[in-house]
Amino acid sequence: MDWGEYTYAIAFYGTAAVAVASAFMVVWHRNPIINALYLVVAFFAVAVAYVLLNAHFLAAIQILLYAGAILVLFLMIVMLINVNPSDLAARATIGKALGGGAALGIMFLCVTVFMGGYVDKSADGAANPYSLSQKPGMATAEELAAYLISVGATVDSVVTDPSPAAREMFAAGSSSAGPSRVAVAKNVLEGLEDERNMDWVKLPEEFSSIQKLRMEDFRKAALITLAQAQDVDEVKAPVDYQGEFDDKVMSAYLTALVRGRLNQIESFGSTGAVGKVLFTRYILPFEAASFLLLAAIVGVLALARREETGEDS
Amino acid sequence: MTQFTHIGLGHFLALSAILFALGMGGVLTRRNALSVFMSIELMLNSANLAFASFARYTFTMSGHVFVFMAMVVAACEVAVGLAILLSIYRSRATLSLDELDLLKW
Repeated sequence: MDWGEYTYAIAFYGTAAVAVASAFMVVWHRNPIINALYLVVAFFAVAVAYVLLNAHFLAAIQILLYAGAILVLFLMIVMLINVNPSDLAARATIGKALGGGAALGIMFLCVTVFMGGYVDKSADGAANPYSLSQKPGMATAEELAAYLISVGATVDSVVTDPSPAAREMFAAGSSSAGPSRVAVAKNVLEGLEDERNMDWVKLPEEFSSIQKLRMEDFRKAALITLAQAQDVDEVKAPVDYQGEFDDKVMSAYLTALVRGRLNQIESFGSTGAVGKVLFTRYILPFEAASFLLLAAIVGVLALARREETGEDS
Repeated sequence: MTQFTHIGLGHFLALSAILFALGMGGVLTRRNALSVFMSIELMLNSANLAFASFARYTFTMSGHVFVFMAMVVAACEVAVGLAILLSIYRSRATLSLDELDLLKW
């Protein structure tokens, strides 16, 4: 998604204002029913923040699970109990003042640290190092695509849904304004630093004989060579690589990596991307969560059922 | 000015910290067990927001899986917790945390 800088800022501040205001009402208002209703608003605001972070699947789950399921549970319990009118009266105690003071202190400390250390303080026009669209020193989707085109790929085969500006840049075939091929290759190798992120990459046939661990050695070797700011074509084959190795193979390898990284960036936050990670790398936690849910069902039934020995009131 | 117009990692972390502190204030100051529970949900949400921000910052999907797991745990916690509250209410006819002092010494 392509957001303008100011559109994004306005959207963020609007969302943040709604989230903070409704969260404040959750804490401040004395009536639990009003608390629960403001909690819905706060959950929706957090869902919008997820959308701003390109986490569309999370935003959907947030609304379904929190605003849909958990809030209904809360409202049902509020309905089942009587709120004692004397509980609604304000009573100030030293404990409350201490608790509120501690929370305020934590808030100011954290906000000072985060706003002091992780925001862009450079001059206007310069790139934002803490921008959420890229890691510092990591190639953007546009640069990666430009690299692919510079080694002979076509626009349509590279980018599924390019922004008009990006498409124009590729059509011109100009990677001259961006970083060099060496920088892009280095960024890609760093971006795919986790071995399991390599799942996004479909390596060329020449590399299919190499085992995954050896592939990781190869990646490190290439990274070290590139860190010495040499040309991409000068990267040497690792010792374990048995096949024939020339510029063409190396180029195919790097192209595959770039394409994998580009796919990773483009599908970020989609349901497919979440599912891919959830059902491969995190399959054990996923199954454990199902057992947790089962245990919760049994536990709730055990707690909620009435004792069989009388007291039928 | 750029620190206010260039929204980055820090802004989302700050929002997350504010929500967390509000929830923490609720847990520490509220006396109604239900409201304390809602404040805990607020804190869980703020932690999820921080996970999602860092996931976006590095463009890796692991953070989203953590948020997913946190949501599952939150759902379990609410279901069991509210059942406990309900059975407490049945036997004591109150949910005020000041009066639930059976385990206090």
